[in-house]
Amino acid sequence: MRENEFRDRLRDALGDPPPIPAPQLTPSDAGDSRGYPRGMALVAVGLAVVLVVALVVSRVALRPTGMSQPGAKGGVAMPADAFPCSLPVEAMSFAQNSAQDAVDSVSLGFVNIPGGSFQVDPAATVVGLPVGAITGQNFYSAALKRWVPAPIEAMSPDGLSYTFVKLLPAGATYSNATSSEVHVFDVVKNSDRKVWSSSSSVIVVNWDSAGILVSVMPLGGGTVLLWRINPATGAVSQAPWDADPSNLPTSAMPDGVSSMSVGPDGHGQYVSRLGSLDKGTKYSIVVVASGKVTTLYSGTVGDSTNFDPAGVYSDGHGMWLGNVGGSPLWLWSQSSGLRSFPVTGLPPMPSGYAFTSFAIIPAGACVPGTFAGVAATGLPPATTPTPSPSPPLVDWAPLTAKPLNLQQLSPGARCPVSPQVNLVVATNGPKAPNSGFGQGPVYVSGPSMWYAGTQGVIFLTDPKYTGPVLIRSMRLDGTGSLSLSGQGATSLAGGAIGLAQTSSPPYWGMWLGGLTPSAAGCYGIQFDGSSFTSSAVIAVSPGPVPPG
Amino acid sequence: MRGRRIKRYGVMALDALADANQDRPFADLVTPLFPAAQRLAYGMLQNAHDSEDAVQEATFKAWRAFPRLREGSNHRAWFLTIVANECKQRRRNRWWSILKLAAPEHQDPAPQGLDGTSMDLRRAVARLPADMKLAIVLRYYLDLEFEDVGRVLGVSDKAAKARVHRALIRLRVDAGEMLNDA
Repeated sequence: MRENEFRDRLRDALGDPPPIPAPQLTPSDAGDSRGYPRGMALVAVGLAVVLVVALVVSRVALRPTGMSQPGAKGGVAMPADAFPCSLPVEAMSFAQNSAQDAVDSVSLGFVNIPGGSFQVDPAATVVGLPVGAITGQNFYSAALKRWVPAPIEAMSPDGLSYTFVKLLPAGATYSNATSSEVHVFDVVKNSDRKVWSSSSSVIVVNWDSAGILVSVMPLGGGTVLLWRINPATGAVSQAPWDADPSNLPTSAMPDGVSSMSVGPDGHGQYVSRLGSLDKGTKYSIVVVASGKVTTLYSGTVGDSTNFDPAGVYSDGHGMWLGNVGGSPLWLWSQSSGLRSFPVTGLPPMPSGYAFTSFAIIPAGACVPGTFAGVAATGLPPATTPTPSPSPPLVDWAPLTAKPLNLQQLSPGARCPVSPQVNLVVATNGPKAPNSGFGQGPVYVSGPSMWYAGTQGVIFLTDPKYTGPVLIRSMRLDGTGSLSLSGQGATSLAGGAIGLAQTSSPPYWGMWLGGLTPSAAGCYGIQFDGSSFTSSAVIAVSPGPVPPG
Repeated sequence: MRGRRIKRYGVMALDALADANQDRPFADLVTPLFPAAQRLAYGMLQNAHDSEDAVQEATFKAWRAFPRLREGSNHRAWFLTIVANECKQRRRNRWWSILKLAAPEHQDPAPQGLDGTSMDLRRAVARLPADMKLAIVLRYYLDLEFEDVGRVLGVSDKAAKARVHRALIRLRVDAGEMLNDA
């Protein structure tokens, strides 16, 4: 696939943005409030005062007291240097070659600290436990001594239950659900209980002693609100925006600096990376809690520390962080700073792949003792891809021998732009435009406006013609050229291209490529097939090509 | 609610400046950039309401940062960077994480007539990590050159190309073939 083909496919896939009003730079609704009766204004002022007081009281009550270093959810409170311990982790492998499906795997196991050996847990299973709308994340509960199919943030403080979101109707996804239910599953009692329902989409943010914090968004899109659910009573109360630590304060995000999520630590804190992954770039790893930002580490991409965290969990030792590549594991605490534990026993990278990735994600509290499991196995090697069929060989001489009928325009003459024609295009591949320019059976399609610079172009071929097509072009109102490029085309003398494969009845032929006029002006494009000659004329405006 | 609050404050602040006739340079600078900003926001968020709020909020932030904009800076990259950060901020919370494993949520309906391939691509793009998605949107939805993609991302054009490359790999697109002729 060539760039222009992908560009067109992406635009097809995403669609164009609907017309939305430009941000308001002048007063638009300021006068509305003046129309309210005075009584309403007094009520509003009164409500505002109550709201401000309530906010101040709640902020004082919830004022952060600095970085917390919590105990594990349902785990055993351990001093920071209580080793040995075994840290539950998800080991995630991913490998891919171009034009092949990716392969990936997740192994559940433990890393023995401080030695660093990784052992897969052969007894790990989550079969039989209910799973919410978000699947594929697992947690090891030290209190239960077992794995559960829930993300870190969904575990109860005692580690005996987890919460999950059930989308309705059954089988719905976030894209087509009509309502949501928040459930609590008590693993010990094997009981599932609905604690809240909503007509909006719901995502669990965190479960701590204050309750289950959820992020709620209307199913049709809109403003996200935070609610805290009492898991015992189902009572809810709205939470402030900064209760969700993934909402990085604006002050922590300088303009022009990219940021990435590392993840929640399971205790209401959220780790983010500020700064790109590009070598030599300065970056910081920060943790956010109750709107307070603490920098764990600042460095430069490619420095000797190579701190590239993936996944996080906090327990009595401090904050555990995985690393892209799988080793080392990191432990950060306010008292000891950042420590690393090189990991051994990682599965080998599979062979035969152009792209491989591996990460160890902390998935629970480090439990006392050493874990003895089984050695990790790697992904299978890549299979050999089937080579693409070769295009047919075409003798272009009969087509290139045809005369070029495009005529120069006299000075000042109007550009005889080809009218757009509606087409009914059926393809056996990507969706094709339903209009084009030209006389057929080959049509120019793609944008309706052309600009100097490179744009995507589509040549559509009616299935009534199946043979090769020669495409030549020239500027009709001056000097300049129009070049065509793209996959599956044969470059010929004089800037011409040949399409050996066109339509395949009953389907239309669709060739996607790049069209580059050297300057604004009037251009003709001639199509020659074994049984026809036709042309199309386009007008090119001055560049650059505008976005969209 | 947060977006609405800031939107209101932003309008009020801009109104005050308008009264003093001091925001004209800012308005002149950003108004031509709105179409690109809206396209960027829609490409990132795929939701009209979110896009509108994101651009509005980004505009307010841009206005606030305007005095710090250096003479000769690339205004478009500067403004699009702010819009991009705003979009990423909106997807930094849990709503983003579900995209890894679930179908895209709270998006506007897909354009009519999309075939399976396009739907798959739409879903795959929605599931991309924010930085990869941004690179793809800038390059292929806004048609920016790698140099301009890099300006918005705050990296070199080479690094921007590398990021697009990684994103294409995640999309299971033959990145090498595409970028060889980029």
